[in-house]
Amino acid sequence: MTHVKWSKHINSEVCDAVFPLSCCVITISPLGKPRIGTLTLGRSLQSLNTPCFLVYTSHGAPPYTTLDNLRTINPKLTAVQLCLATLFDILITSASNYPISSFRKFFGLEGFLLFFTLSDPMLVLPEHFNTKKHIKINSVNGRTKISSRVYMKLVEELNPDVFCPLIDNIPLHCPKYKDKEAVNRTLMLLDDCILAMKDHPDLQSSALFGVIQGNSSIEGRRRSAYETSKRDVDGFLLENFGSHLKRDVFRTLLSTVVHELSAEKPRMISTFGIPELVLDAVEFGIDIFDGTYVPCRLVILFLQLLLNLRYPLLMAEDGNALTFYIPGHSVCRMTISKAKHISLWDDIFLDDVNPLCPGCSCMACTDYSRSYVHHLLSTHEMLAKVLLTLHNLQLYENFFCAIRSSIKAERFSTFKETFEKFYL
Amino acid sequence: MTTKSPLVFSILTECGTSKARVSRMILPHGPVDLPVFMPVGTQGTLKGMLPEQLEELGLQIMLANTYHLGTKPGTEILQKAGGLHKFMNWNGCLLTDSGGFQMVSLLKLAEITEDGVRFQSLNDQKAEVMLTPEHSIEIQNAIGADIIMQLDDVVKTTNPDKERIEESVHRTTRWLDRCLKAHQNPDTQNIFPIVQGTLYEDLREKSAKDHIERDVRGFAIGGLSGGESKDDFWKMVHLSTNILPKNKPRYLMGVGFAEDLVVCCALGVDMFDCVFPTRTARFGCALTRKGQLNLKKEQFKKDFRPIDENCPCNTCKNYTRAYLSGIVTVLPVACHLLTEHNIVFQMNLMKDIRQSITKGKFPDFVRDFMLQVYPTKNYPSWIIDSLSAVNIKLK
Repeated sequence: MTHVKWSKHINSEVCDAVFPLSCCVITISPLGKPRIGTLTLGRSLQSLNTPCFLVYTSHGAPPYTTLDNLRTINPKLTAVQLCLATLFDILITSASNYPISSFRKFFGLEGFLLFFTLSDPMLVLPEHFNTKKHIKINSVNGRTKISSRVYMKLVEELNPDVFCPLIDNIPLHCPKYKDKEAVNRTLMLLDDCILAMKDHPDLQSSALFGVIQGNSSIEGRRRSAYETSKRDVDGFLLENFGSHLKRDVFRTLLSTVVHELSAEKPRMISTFGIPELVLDAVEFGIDIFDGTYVPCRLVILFLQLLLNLRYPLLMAEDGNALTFYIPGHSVCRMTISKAKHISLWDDIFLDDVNPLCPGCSCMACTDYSRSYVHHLLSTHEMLAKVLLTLHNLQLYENFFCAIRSSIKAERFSTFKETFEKFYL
Repeated sequence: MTTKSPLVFSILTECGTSKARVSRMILPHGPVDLPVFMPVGTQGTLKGMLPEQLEELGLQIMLANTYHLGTKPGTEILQKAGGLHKFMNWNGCLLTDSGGFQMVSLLKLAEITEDGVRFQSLNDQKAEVMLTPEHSIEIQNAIGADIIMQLDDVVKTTNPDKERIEESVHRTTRWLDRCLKAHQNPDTQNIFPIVQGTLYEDLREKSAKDHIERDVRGFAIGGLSGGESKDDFWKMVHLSTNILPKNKPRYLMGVGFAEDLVVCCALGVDMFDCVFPTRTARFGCALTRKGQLNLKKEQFKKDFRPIDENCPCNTCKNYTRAYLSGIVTVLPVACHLLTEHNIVFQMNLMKDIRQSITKGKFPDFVRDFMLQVYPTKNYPSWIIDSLSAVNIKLK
């Protein structure tokens, strides 16, 4: 199967196809699942190879590394995720007065592909804030109502490459009726958004991703996917697909949703990132992952999860280095166990002069030792999280590169099986 | 190359008016252009900055703290790692202090005896530990810095007890001898003695003259920048640099505010260190020639200028005061961005000082600098007096 470059013609006889959307183009090969693609976004004509993940940002910047430090990652990471939840205060107090029209410059994000959502994927809501009439957002002045109109104006000023409309964002764990209400309300807000696009001509070159809600309800997810699909959207975001779900439930929900979505539109998924679930999602045809996963501690306890499932940035925040096995790539030569991640807080690393992940070629592994990172953590020095983040991002990118290669070579199922067998 | 001295010092240009001079010091890990400001990377790291970034900025030398590193990770780990340079991946020069100052200032129960400093360790066992000159040098040998400091008997400048201070001067010299004797790496690490004497001219003189008799390659001026009045401060610095030999570098410990750096360069100091620029970055403050900017303040939220329009650092290149103000309390990376700016600020200041001395325009530079800091010309009297003492007149 060859990967077709961008062209204006759709040749239905060929398995590979190119689909120009209103503002972005995704070349998909093959049309089934899993698939690799090239997402070319209208404004900047920058392209992104999928499946891929986004670099998480808070308040417009990655929490632990400067944008300059991201240069050490190879190949270059160019796609970042932004959310109104963390940007709201800065946008309202500062950015809206910025004399230059481009907010991108204000955040130092020129040259990056911006994916914009309402919710912060790092923060799972402990409760439902929105009322029947209003969506609410946290700000320094407390919870503020936000209307579609204000939301769209902020999106227009930010001018992202991909954005999601205002939604009824709900916690992972909700009574069933709220899940259902959220699906309905989100659809209404999507319709409002599409209507409002007329008043925001600048947004014509941004891609609109409809958000699929429903939490753990199969029927809810199906309906959300089906209805969203009927609207004029350029892609989809599957929200709240957390790792709190049992694997079989997760696979069922994914399969249900994907069944309703047209193959030629890109699919993004949020709030998880552990490798085995990533592989499941890729198998079902998901293209873009959000690069973080969080259940907040409350939810972990509530759902009695034992594993720390936060990837890859929150892993760094907790002092963990990712060390999982990438079939066909380098194996992290663990002397301790077949761990998918190691906590550098552990005293066994006190005098361990090995790199975080032997075999990894990232800057942190080339020049630093576990002993040093352990020292940095135990002395509460910030550099620990810088190094862990850079390593974790590199390893995660290697993982996605390997996924793309294996799909291209038609060996994805072998790749997935090899990974799963290794951890049996 | 064991015949090469671990410190080679040469004066390049002397200011014709004041005591300032531009010089170059070559240490085992590379050259250092003087006068220099050395940022403090206490625990073997400089507040979230990657050593690679620091090298790119042109940083040549930084400090690490013996007391902290001796506790964590400890000499054994450092030896296993092959020294602090390898442990922290820093290829430039390092200077370590003796640990004495931290102990006296950080610990509640520190008792100074002729043997050393007895204190209660901060670790779980709360054992009584003794830091002796020999032990301090042992840790510093393990760390492997290019310049290491003697353990000195530090007395606060606010202590009026002259007998105690006289005792500390003599003891410091005796401890210097013990340090020199215990030193395991005289070919790769340079011990600097520390001139004490608080505010007593005769005692300072005695301390300096005693140290000069020893075979050392540089000198530190200690016990200042801690509570004494600025008038007393500059006079002691001036006195010390008059006595200390010109052909060896002079290091004034704990000085880092911009105007102090400028004045003390005029008084003939070559090296400085201070936690101030990196510490203040953590609290959201950015340094400019006109003073500190506390970016937490509301006024900056709509200020779309960079911290400093003339600053070449990445923070000023990419971000405005408004954005930094928005993230300074909520995002860890804000600290790195401000730290980078503040370090570049200090480095640029020192570079301008060196260039102006080289061009023979140092007095003009001093006048312009002070005018930026005090635009209404209400210069503090200590600045007027100290500069006047070295023939620089502020109009």
